[in-house]
Amino acid sequence: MNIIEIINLEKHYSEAELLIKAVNKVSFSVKKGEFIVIVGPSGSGKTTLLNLIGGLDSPTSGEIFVDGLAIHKMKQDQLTDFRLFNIGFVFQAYNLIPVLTAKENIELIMKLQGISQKECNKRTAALLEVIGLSERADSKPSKLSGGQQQRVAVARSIASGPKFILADEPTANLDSHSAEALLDTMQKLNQNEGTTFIFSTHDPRIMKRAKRIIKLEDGKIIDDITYN
Amino acid sequence: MILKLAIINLMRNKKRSFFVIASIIVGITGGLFGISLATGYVNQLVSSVIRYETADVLIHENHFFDYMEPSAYILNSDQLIKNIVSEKGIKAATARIKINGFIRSALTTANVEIIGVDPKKELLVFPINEAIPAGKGNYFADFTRTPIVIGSILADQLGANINSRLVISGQTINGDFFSSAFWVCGIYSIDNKHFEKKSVFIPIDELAILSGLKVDEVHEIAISLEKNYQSSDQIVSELESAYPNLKISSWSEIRPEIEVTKSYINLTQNILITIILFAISLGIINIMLLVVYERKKEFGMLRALGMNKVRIFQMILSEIIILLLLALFISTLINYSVLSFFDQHGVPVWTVEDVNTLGLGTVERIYPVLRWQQFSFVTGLIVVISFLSSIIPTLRILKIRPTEAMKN
Ligand SMILES: Nc1ncnc2c1ncn2[C@@H]1O[C@H](COP(=O)(O)OP(=O)(O)OP(=O)(O)O)[C@@H](O)[C@H]1O
Ligand SMILES: [Mg+2]
Repeated sequence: MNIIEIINLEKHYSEAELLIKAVNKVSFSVKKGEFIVIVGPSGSGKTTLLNLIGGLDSPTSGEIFVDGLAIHKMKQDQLTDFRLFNIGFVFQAYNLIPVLTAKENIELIMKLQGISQKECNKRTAALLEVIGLSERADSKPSKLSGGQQQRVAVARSIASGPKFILADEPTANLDSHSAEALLDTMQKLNQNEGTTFIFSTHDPRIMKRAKRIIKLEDGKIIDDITYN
Repeated sequence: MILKLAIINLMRNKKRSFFVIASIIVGITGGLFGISLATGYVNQLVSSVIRYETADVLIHENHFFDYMEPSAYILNSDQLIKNIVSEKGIKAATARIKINGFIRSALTTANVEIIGVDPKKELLVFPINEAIPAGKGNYFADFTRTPIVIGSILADQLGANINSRLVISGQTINGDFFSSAFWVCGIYSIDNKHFEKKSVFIPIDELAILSGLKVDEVHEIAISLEKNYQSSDQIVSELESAYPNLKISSWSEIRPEIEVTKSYINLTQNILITIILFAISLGIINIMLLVVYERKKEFGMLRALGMNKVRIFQMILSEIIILLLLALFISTLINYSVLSFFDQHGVPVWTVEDVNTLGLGTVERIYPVLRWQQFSFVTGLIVVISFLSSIIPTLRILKIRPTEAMKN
C-alpha cells in the first residue's frame, strides 16, 4: 500500500529574473516500511522535495497525497495540524529545544498531541533504550554530543507515531562513528517497527544501507533503484 | 507543559526577566499607591465632613436654603429631637442655631458662620472636643467668661489665642443687628480646613438671646446614625415622609461636590493606571519581539513540528502573564507594607492651601487606602493587558517560515 503518492510535483523559485525549477515534474510513490534515500548533487532539489512532502512548503503545481489526503490543497493551519499528527522530522540541525532535557524533548510532540503523561513516560523510556541514551535522559542537549542529539531527535520524531519520517541530511554534522550509530538506530526502527524513512543525503554510509535510492539532478529524478 | 516551558524560558535570561519584572513592579506599585492616596484623601474628606460639618442627616425649615435668613427656623425642637432619637437607626440628634455674621479682633475682621450649640448634645453628634489639641483650651467644659470655640486657621488670622476677646456680630430675626463680646475657650483643628476657617461655636442660649429666637426655636437639627453613612439616604426618605414640612438632607445633598469629586478622582485614577499598564504593555511587547528574534530558529522548528497558533499564543501568553502576575504579587506585598506604614504615620501634604482648589476642604496628612474593588480592577486589567501584549509577538512567530528559519 502506498502511503505517499507524488504526481508531477513542481516547485519554482524566481531569483533575479531567473526561474529556478528546484523540483521539476517529479512523480513517485512510497510504500509503508520503505527506507528511501534521496541523493543528488548540491542544489539538485533534495531539501525542497522533502519540504514539500513534509507540508512545510507548498508546491507550484502537482499533487501530493499522504494516505490518500491531498496535502497540496491544505491551508497553513491544516498543514500545521497535519504535520503534528502524521510526520516525523529529523532536521540537519536545531532539532531540540535547548532548555528541555532529552526526555522532555522526546515527549514534546506527544504532549502537543495530548497524550497522557503516563503513556509519554512509557514510550519515552522505551525509545531512550532503543537509542541507547537511557542514562542521559535528564541531560540538556548542550551536554550531549551531536550524534546523541540527532538520536534524541530521531526518538522524538518516532515517539508521536507518525506515518513516516523525513530526515534531511541527518548525518551531515556527525563524525563517522556517530553517523553509524544513528543509522543503526534508524535501521533497527525500520526493521523492527516497520517505520518508513525518507532521507536526503550526500553520505555514502546512508546509501549503503538504503533499500531504495532516488537520484535527483536539476530537480528531476534521473534514477530510482530498489535493492533487495 | 506550556507553562513549564514558559517558566524555563523566563529563566534563560534571568537578568532580563529580573529587569522586566522590576520595571513592571515600579509601574504597578506607583499606580496602586497613587490610587490608594486618592482613595484615602476622599475617605478622609468624607469622614471629616460628616464628623464635624454635616453629620449624617440634617433637618432644616423648608425654606432655610432659599433665603439663608435667620427667620427660617424650626419650632418645638425639643419635642422634635425626642421623637427623632426614638426612631430606629438614629444614634443622636442635636439642635443648632446658625447665623452668618462677622467676628472681630483687635487685629482684623472675618466672615463667619456662628453656630449656637448645646455642648452636651452636640458632642454626641460632633465630637469636636477631640479636635482640640492639648494646650488649646476645651469645648465649653471650663470657662470664666462667655465662651467661644473657633478654628485654628481663624485664630491665626485674628491673632487670637485662648482667653482672647472677640466680638461677634450678626442679624437678628427681626432684621436688626446684634453685637457681643466672647472669650476664646477652645481652638479646634480639623482636616476640613474649609469648615475650620469659617465656623465658630457659642452656647445656643447665648445666640438665642442675641438673635431673638425662643428656647426651642432652632435652624438646624443634626443627626448621627447608628450605621455608617451609606444608609443615610434610607433614613432621609423615612424622615421625609414623617416630617413633610421640614427639609431633610443627607450629607451628600449638603455637599454634593464630594460625590462628584469621588467619582472624578476614581475615574482619573483608573485612567492613570490604564495608561501605566499600557506603557508596561508596550515595553513587554518590545521585549517579547526581541525574544522571538533570538529564538527564531526554535520557533521555526516548533512550527515545523506542528505547533499551531493557539499553542504558540498560549506559550507567549504564559510567559507574559507569569511576568506580570509575579510583578503584581511583589507590588502588592510592597504596597501592603507601605500602606501599613503610612496607615500609622500618614503622608504629609505639604501644600495644604494649594490643594484646596476645589473648595472641598483639605487634609494635612493623607492616610492611603486601597479598596478591594480597585485592586481587582488592576488585576483584571493586567490579565487583559497580558492577552493584548501576546497578540503581536504571536503574529510575528506565525510569520516565521520554518524552512527559512532553520536554514544554515
Ligand atoms: N527559498 C529559495 N529561494 C530561491 N531559490 C531557492 C530557495 N530554496 C532553494 N532554492 C534553489 O532551489 C534549488 C534546490 O535547492 P535545495 O536546497 O532543494 O537543494 P539540495 O539538493 O537540498 O542542496 P544541498 O545538497 O546543498 O542541500 C537550488 O538551486 C536553490 O538555489
Ligand atoms: Mg539540502
